[in-house]
Amino acid sequence: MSGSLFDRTLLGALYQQHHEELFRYAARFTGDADLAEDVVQEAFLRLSERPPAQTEAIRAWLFRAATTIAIDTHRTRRRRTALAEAGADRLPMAEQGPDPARSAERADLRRRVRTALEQLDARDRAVLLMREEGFAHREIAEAVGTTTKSVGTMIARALGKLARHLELTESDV
Amino acid sequence: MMNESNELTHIDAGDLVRLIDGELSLDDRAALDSHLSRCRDCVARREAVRGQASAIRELLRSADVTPPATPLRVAVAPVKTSAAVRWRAAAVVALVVAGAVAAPPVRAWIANVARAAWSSVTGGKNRPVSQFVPVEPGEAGAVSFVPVGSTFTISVPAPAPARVIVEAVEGNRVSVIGSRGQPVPGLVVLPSEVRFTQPSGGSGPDYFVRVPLTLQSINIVIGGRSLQTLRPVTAGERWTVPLGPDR
Ligand SMILES: [Zn+2]
Repeated sequence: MSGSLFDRTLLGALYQQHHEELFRYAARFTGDADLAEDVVQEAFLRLSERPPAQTEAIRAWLFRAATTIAIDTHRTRRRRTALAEAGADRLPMAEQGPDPARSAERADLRRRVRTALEQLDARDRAVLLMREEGFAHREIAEAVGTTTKSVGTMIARALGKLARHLELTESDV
Repeated sequence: MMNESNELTHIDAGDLVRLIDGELSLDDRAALDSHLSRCRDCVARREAVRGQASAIRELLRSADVTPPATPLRVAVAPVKTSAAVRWRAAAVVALVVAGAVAAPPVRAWIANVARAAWSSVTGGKNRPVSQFVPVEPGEAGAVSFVPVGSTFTISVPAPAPARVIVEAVEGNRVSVIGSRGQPVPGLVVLPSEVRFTQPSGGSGPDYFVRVPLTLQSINIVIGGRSLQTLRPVTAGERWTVPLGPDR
């Protein structure tokens, strides 16, 4: 890439390109659509303030930033939630479906998945979810601050724990 | 990593994942393959991990919520001239963000604005330290600014069912507006370029770009390819350029 970096890239286009996948990642991580939106916006704010030197690494940079933000946000929110009592089981952005039975089923599935993800340690969860986004172990390691080799171990641990919580049996897999 | 000569050591769970994910070196991979060829237990464990991973992937996908159609809400990052920043010169990029008015509750520090300036910096040696490009709302939703340099680019990321109408004007400002006088969603303004990043819309929107005679050439770029170069000579000249295959 010759000359400039960001004059060949641009925030708007990057947002267009990445906000959906970042949102998906953040929503899975936080279990909360509003929070996930904030995470995405803050990641782009950070990008605008401290753009990385290498533009080709932007996607990984964005996910790394989102991971840091999500872990921090989640930590503070957990504290708040703990105080407020986690009773209100608010669904992340419940979708209106024409079929109430299906909607309920979907809501139930979401709750199940979210509860299972919450059982994971934040870094294990980030590792597992970044793998879902197709990142290499090296990139995942950089995002959560660990060694490339331990990423495999963390993924294995996260998969095992999720499978238990989701009660995946041999017939499911 | 397990030792190939040690038949009693099974492959650890992390290595199974690394194997599945193609993260092993050739040597390590060969060692594991050799073990797998002799150990049914480990083959079964590998398949179990694969199965878990794909079942979990399915569940995650079916539990996903639809991303909101929220526009970028980043607003104004002041240009930092710190030497520590690798980005040396500053060129402000203005983003015109459509629909920001409808943004849901936002954290206080993210301003809810329809027009946001974003500082980026160029690193090239040949480039002048580019100046702040103040973008002003022009008449009736138009965006107007003084371009840098004598060459200007109008671009879209990919062919689109849209046309851009370029008109040469007196003065020194470029102005951009949508077909019916409305602001253009996803318009990105660079010091010597405007980009239409959301040229969707089946009806085929038109964009009007007025270019001053101070510019020597206007490049129309579609998906990174230069399509046409316009050279305005007299005020009032007009070009209609289709941006896609359909028009
Ligand atoms: Zn074995």
